[in-house]
Amino acid sequence: MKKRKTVPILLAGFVAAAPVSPATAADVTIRSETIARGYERDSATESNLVALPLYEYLSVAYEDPEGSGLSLHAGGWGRKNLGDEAVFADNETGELLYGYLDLRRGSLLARVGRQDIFSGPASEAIDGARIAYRWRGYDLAGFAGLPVALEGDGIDGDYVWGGRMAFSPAAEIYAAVSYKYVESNGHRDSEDAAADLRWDLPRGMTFTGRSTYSLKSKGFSGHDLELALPLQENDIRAGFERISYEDFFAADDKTAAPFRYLKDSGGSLNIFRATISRGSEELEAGAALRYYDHSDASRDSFYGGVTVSWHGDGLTQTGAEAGRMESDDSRNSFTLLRLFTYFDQLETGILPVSLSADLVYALYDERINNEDYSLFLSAGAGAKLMQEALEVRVSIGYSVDPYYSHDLTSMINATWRWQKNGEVEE
Amino acid sequence: MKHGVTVIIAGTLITAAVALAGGLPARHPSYVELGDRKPVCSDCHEDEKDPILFKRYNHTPLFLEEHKRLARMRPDVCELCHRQESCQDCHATRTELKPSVKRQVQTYKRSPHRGDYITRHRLDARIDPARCYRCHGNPRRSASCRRCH
Repeated sequence: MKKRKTVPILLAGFVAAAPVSPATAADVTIRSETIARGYERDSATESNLVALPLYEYLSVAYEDPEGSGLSLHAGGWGRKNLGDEAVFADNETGELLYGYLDLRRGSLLARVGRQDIFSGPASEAIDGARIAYRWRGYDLAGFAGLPVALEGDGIDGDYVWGGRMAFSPAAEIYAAVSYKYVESNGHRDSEDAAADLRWDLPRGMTFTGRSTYSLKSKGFSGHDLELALPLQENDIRAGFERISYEDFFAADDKTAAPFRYLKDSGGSLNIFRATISRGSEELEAGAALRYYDHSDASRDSFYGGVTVSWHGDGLTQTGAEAGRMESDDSRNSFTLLRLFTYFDQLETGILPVSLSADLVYALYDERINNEDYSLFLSAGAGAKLMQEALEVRVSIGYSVDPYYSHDLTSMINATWRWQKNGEVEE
Repeated sequence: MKHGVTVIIAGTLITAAVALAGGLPARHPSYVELGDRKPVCSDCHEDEKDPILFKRYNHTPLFLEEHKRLARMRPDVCELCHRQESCQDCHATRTELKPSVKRQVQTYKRSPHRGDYITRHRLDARIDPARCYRCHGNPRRSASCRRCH
């Protein structure tokens, strides 16, 4: 497999072309999150393997908000297992998740490097460039590069490009058309076009909609429509989503097995949804209803759920969530309950500590592996040290469920943040 | 390599370009203290004639389910406060740790995978496989599926 050299090359090219700015206030932030976990697992051939993975998530950001408009962002992760290596088998041991240079000048945004693209039909990580520009009421954006997701079998013949153009034909309307093309090993992997619309209606109502068309299978892969109705302090939304399996899913040898057969199933799914939520300084509540209308009627399902949470100082919060999935196929029916709490910066006399607890309980209508429920419990504590530059958290988790009779996990998490605001020396 | 050269040239041209017009600022003004709590954008941005309807960006209790529609429509609004690092906290499907494990202590953050999701994912996937596919559909992101499937 060819090694990916594009990112450093792109970064070098971009830096070489970047305008040199005079010394200005600069922000440099380095964030390190070290996570140590401990638990036991069984493999196909061995039991009670000990997993002691040590993870490091490192991110760096340099921003020059008052000067050139240039900023640098990079982040990635790595893992070293101190226990039985068989637990992780052939898993990857680390990756650069993002690493890009940003240039912002007025309404121009240029970004080069490894980055995520969320735009229209695109939800991709690419090694490449993205440019966005606002021109006379038009929002124009384009991107091109190498798709990170397809690098597993080499990068020859892989590329992705796309764009989006949004405009406001009237003050209350914001509409956009977008496009994405992915080439894999010299063949068209996917090609999608999308249109989205936001329409501000009287009485504060808003309509949003998006339709995506697969140019490869020549059919609409999905529609997503929503009407938001503010009513006093309540946020009410009603929506409809349609997914056509033939046009939405892929069925090549790179597609994971659970999804591969769906494309040829000819199925479709309509989802009707309604939500209501309201919040105040102390109390937030929400409720959601969803009806799943399958082309295979035996899978039609209805979900209803509520969430409520009480807020104290800072991030202090205590809440509950409850939901019920009722399906025509009883294998898919279950009841879900979650209780959680988080106490932020509790004074203990020595140093402030944060405490947390979580309970998730699921009750299944049909037994799975001879069990009809899952219970997960976790508890944690944390403290900020060194003028809050370092935060250390410890937690344990315990699960009883159809797959693990008694699963105990432990985790230590140390997050260190260093920031420098000052003058750059030339 | 040809593609890499093409993109270098494009990046160079972009960088050399100068464009000045009235777009969104790169960051939310730092003199406004947003605090740790979930923001209610419309507390300050209450003008409904604003070209951006900030009320829609209020982080309501169900914002987790809503945010994808907004992010795909106006990612620049999200970037006023969030960098891609924020997205990666949950959407980094090229990492081993699922967000509910990495953020186990931060119980105030909602996450679809909290608790025993290994069991529940079978049920959710039979009902709405598209929801799984959006994150786990491509070859790299489906690595976690292939271990068992």
